[in-house]
Amino acid sequence: MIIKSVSFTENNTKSFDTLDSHLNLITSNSVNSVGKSTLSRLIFYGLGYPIPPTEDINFKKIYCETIINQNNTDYSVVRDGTKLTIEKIDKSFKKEYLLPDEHNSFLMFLFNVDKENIARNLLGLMYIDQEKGWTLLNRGKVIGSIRFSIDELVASLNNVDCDDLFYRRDVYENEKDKYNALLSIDTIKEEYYNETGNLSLLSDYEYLKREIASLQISINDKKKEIKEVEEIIANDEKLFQFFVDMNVHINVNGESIKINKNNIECSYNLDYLKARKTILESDLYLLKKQISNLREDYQKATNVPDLFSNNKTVDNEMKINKALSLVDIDVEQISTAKDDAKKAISEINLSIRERTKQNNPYIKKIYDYLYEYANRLGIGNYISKNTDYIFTNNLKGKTGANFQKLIIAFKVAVIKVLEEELNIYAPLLIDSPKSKELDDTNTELVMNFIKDELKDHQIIVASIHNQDKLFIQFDKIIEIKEFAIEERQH
Amino acid sequence: MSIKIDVETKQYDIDLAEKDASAVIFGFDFQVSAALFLFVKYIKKIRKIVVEGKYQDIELDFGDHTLYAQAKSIQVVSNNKRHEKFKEALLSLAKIRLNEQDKCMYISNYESPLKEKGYYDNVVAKLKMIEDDLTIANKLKQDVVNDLEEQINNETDKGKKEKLKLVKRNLNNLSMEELLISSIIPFVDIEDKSDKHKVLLTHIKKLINEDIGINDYDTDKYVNQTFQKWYMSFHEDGSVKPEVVFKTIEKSELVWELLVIVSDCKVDVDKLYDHPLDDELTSKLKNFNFDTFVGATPRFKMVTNIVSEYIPYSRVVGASPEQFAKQYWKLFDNELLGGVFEDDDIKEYFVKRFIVKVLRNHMNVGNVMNGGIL
Repeated sequence: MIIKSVSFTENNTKSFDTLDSHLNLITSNSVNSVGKSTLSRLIFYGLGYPIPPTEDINFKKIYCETIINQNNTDYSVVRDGTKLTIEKIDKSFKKEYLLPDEHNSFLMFLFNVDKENIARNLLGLMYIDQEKGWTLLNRGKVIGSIRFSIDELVASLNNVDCDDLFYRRDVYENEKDKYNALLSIDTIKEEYYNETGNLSLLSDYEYLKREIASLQISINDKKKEIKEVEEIIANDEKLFQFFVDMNVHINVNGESIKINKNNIECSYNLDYLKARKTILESDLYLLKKQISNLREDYQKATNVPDLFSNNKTVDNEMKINKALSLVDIDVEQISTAKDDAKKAISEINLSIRERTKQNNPYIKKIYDYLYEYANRLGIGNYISKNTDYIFTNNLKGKTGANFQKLIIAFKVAVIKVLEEELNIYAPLLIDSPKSKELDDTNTELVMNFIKDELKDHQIIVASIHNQDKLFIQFDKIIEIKEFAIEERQH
Repeated sequence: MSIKIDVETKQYDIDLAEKDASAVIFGFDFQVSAALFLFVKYIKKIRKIVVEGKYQDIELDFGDHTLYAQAKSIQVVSNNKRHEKFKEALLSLAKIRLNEQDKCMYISNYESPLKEKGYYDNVVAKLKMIEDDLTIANKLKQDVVNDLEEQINNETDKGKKEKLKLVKRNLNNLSMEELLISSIIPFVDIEDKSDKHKVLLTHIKKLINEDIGINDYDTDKYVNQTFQKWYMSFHEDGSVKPEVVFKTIEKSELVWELLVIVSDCKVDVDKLYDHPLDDELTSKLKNFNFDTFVGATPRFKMVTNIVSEYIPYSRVVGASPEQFAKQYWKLFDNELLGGVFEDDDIKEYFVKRFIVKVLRNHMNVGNVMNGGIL
């Protein structure tokens, strides 16, 4: 597939850029933050992907039109919110897709593949984000919620059904992400308390909450008791009043004695109950006083401090940290749950591996390319001789230029296999190849490698550097002045 | 030093603003404690008690006469200002016109409120019995009279002058011989507050042991609870104000509170069964909260049924409430519970326990009434 042009309209501003079939550069000539990453993301957003926007721009309000060429046919792909339309330029064909549910169907059509898992994993090969992209090797997040999985791809290539296992693994991956997020909140809590010097407040706050809850139970019990006593007092008083009202007399040794409360045996019970009620009410009063004091202390412990009131940024940051600090996290429990999720993921990966590996020639094909490319990029001794290496989880210690080169080698290896096996010519967009630790020597090595190996693929590089610093001649240069969406001179 | 009397204020006392907060708190604490001390001492005879009364710190109503008491305290053990405080007390006592039967008392925490030591410790003594102190008291009274005289001469306001003359007349009529004096010893500001009220607690304990007839494992618990409850009755919100609205408390109110407290007696479970309980049953009973169970409050009908059945039974020698409960609990189980419990063991224990508590309460009430307290 070749992207021939991209057009984006935001309010009354429209940008239009054509792209070459091979080497394209989106640059800002050494100026940062003018929209190179935004434009890069918009390219894929325009193709229906749920790409998160960069700051200060709402992708949902942008009208996108992309002209693509697939199998020598030009199509217009228009995205307007959740509606994605693909139409032949000659208008002989048109189809609409509702996003996000039907996006995969669109991709299958676009790249002419009949396997969902292949279509779903293409972005992981086509796009290297300036941040996330340089940490993704063979599985993980591409950008936003979009994932890449070599397991899915390879299984699909060989027509092996592992969907059940992929689904379960996704569930655990999401859980693991949530646990990591919660543990991060706990770290923020600790940092917050360290900054404010209120480490003891953390335990005070927990203690206060427990004490308040316990007192509330005692108050409720006390109220129930009082209510019961009051009901009995009312009933007994009615009873004695009945005797008085009835003017009942008894005959004792010829003497007629009028019955009243004072001469009824055990009538003292009423005085007893009234005294009991007084005591219960005193107890209740004390409990309410205690809980009121504790609530005051709790309020103080959870009050947002008004530091640097003129500095809104600091205020907001403090408020956010304070709000996060109030989240109740059982670190031990979360860590255990996270470990359980990791263990489950490991076991599922093993199952996937076993199913995938059986009679699967694509593993070796990808590995062979990877091995060759790794050697060309000077990192041959970083990869294992085992073909299973393409599934490796062992990314510890892999950072810097060598890891960047490994990522490039891996992606190109898979792209080549897809090209050969399925005739897929997926473009490759690299955002900021020099943003990590690639020096000039390695930049030249990598850029020329990509240019040569993917000579039949469209390559788009977004960089603040001009082509001199990237050591290859680009066929098309898009120069951004201020914004991703602006009228540009061509 | 002469004492300036401001006849407009309710209390002719040293300006409280001169004292620090802890002294005020201590003083009020002593006043309440003195009231409780006198209440327990005169419990059989009094009808009502007032703290921070209209005229005096403590007023005990005996029906046919009233005992007016002035309470003075010193935070740290010493004899500082004892005579000044005595003179202030006299001045306060002189605010009222006494009836013939009425009595006056000076109560403090001085070991020797005037000169002699050891005569007044936790008892009430008539001043005429202590000769040297009587002499000093008369001299101090004369000093106050002289001060009043001077003030009267200097006072220009006619109304105030008349009031001062009235006070002087009352003071002259106040008999030092008949003056009652008492000291609560010890009552000092120490860290362990339970020691400060030790005297009171001892008196309450004696009341519970001797007059109500309770002397068991939980007696100390009853003593503390009674003290705290009575203390709160006199000093409701726990805060100290220079002028507190006076509160009249009927004796019966306080005595019934005591009876409620001691009715929460411990029931010896072993005495409720013919056989020893196994661990499982013991644990089950231990874990059930009987006191907050709805239905644990005794109604008149239940009480009268239980007591009327028990009275002829109790005439049998050695028949205790526990034995009665053990033998006859089934007579009352439906009436008490109406089938609320599903567990038979808990039901049986609940009913027996309830019966014992009702009967013990009945006995306590009987002791209190027979002992002349109520």
